[in-house]
Amino acid sequence: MYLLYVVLAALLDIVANLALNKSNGFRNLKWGIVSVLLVWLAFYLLALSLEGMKLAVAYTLWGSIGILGTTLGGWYFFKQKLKPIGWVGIFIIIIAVITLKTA
Amino acid sequence: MLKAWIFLMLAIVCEVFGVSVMNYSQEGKQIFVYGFMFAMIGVAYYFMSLSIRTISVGVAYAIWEIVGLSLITLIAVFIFGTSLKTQEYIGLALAIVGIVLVNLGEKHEAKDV
Repeated sequence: MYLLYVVLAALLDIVANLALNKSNGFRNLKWGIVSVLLVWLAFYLLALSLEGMKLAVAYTLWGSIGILGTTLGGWYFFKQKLKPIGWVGIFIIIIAVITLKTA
Repeated sequence: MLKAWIFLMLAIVCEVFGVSVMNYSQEGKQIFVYGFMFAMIGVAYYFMSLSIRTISVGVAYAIWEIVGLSLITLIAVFIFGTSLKTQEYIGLALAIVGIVLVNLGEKHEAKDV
């Protein structure tokens, strides 16, 4: 159940990031507001999950899904390409998050 | 480009503040803790939105995540005098490598702020 909260929080965070990109620096206010509302909900769910999970576990899951999902989303919806070396960087960052959080 | 990076760093600092208070949410005064957290996150996302007009959203988010985490680790060292475990040194080193690679891998076609 708590695991579900974290995964849901991560997915909401990804959608929030993509909405934020669509807001074009809050010039498109509607998308900016949607983004902030979604991220608030995401953080609320993350906080709820902490009642049943360690912060380290919740955060690494949330961070990993969020980073990968946002990068894939940026590529799919906004054609933001990353060179292969950039993808390697994304995976190293995910490993770094896990390494730091499980220390 | 520099402006985008400054906005990203501001976003990270706001988020670190916001998330740091989450640890106190179990000690009563929940409404203030959540209020502060949500306000900081709102401000952080505003700065983030300015930043990702130039940097691609995935790269910005990955950097935000890892720099935030590294900052929290370093704050523990410099302010609370905690000493780092070997695994944390490795994590910080990986963070730097990852950030450099992600930047090398970014294709700059986006408009500048």
